[in-house]
Amino acid sequence: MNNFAVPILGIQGIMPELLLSLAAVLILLLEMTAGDREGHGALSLSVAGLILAFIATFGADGKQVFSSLLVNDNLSALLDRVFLMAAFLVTLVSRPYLANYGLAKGEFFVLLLLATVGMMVMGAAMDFITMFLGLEMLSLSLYVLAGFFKKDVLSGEAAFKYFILGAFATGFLVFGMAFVFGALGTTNFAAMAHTLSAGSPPFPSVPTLLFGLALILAGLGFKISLVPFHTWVPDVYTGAPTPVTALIATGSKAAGFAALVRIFMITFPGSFQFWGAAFWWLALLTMIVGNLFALVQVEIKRMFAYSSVANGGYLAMAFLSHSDVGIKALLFYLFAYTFMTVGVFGVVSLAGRRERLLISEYAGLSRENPFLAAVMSLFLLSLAGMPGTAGFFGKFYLFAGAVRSGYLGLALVGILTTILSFYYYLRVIVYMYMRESEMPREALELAGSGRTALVLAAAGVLILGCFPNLIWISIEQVF
Amino acid sequence: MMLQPTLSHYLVVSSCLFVLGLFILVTRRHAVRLLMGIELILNAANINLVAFNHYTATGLDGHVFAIFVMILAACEAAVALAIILAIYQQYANIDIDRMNSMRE
Repeated sequence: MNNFAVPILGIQGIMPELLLSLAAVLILLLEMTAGDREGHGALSLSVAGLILAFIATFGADGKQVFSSLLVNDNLSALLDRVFLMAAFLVTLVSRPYLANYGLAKGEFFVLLLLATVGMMVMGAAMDFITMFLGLEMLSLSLYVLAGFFKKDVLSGEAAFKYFILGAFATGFLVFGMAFVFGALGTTNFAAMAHTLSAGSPPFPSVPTLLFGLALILAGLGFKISLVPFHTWVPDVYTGAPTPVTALIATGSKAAGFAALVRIFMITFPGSFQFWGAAFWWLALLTMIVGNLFALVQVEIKRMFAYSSVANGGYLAMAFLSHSDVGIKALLFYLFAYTFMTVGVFGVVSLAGRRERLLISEYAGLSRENPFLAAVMSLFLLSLAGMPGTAGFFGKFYLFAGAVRSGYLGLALVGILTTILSFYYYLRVIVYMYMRESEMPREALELAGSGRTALVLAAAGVLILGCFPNLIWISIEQVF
Repeated sequence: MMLQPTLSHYLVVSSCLFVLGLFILVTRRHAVRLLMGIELILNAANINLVAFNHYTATGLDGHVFAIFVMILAACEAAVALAIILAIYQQYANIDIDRMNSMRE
């Protein structure tokens, strides 16, 4: 009975995605019928959907479903958990943030959930078609979310810039995928790897394949903002509503890295001699440019935008490790990076009824709300890579992997730029604790769900920093 | 003698479309024209997919992929026009050089 429909389609293989989509549809229905003006129902449904999907990721069985379009292995399950945690924390932060602007509408949460589904499809894709579908689901939702404040000039501008450059990148990606398809005659990753190892590609293929891979790298490089494809980042991160910025910086970036891992490290590890050098240069440029530009920023979101670019450079270093070690270090850093980045953007969203734009406006925050200042300091120290926080082990594994594969120079640049980054991260802490604000502000109240999100993110940073083995155990199971 | 189109012919056409799309994105300042440039790039990819599928592959992967690209290009256009409309209501024009309220 059971093997009539279920094993063919493999519905259980996409359970997390299904649950999230279901929650999104329910929120839309609720919005239409019950008139959920304050967004309470939408928040509870999103949270329920995200938690259920998180539980469902533990059912990963390593099988390929939907005629090898998606795979349900440990790697995709771990990536799903990164995406779901990012979306969960962002959801909790969004509700009080949006309520400040009177915009706590259900569709924000719907788009957030659909963007998460897109990330999960990308992380589980075993085929160019599904990868493209996931990427578009993610990107289209994020374009709308970036422009969610329709009356706000900056938000519209951010949405438009994000759209134009994102669509441009998608064009590159599809064009590249077409060439890889032409070289190997299939869009399925497993079949591609098989054709390559069998050594009988149907087309005079090495230049075609490499041209296609280069375009794919450029297209995904836009999404994860590697230098020189990072020009959209500062404007979009600054103009978009801050919780959306948090999602773009964490979930969307993690999904881009997931796609790169699937294509470059799992499907084409044999062509490392060709693409390794590209990653070396991208990582180098991204670390240097990201950190140098972050040094001179005066606006806080712009500074974190460049800091996020710089972190992309550290993550790109993992591709040079060229083995399981690299993927494991990448996964660990993605977990760490998600907690600390959602954390900092969460604090920026909630530090005041209207956001504080300039770094100098953070003067005296420790007096107005000691909790906010304390968690912000924790996230900043973690981003800087202080021992005892998640960022330290994340960077340690990445740099160690690079050194072990013989890229000592690159690891040194990573360490030097990390030291440089201490300056701009600590500057915010100095403002919060050692400067008084010019006009004293009143004490700041924090809404319940926002506080929960920050506590959870801070706990994540501390747990990963003190007991990295807890997460490392499940990362070890990936291979 | 009739000229038989070969794979190279299709690749030349699609490369021309791709470069035209790039050219539009770099030189034009009108938001809707940028959208057209993006459509050109995606359609260049479609031609490639279908041509490669016809000449080199055995399955239908390329055709299916091309249909997916078309559908998602339509979705992209819908979202883009909505964003452009929202911007138009703010600025009363859609010249992208005016969109610089964020300083560099």
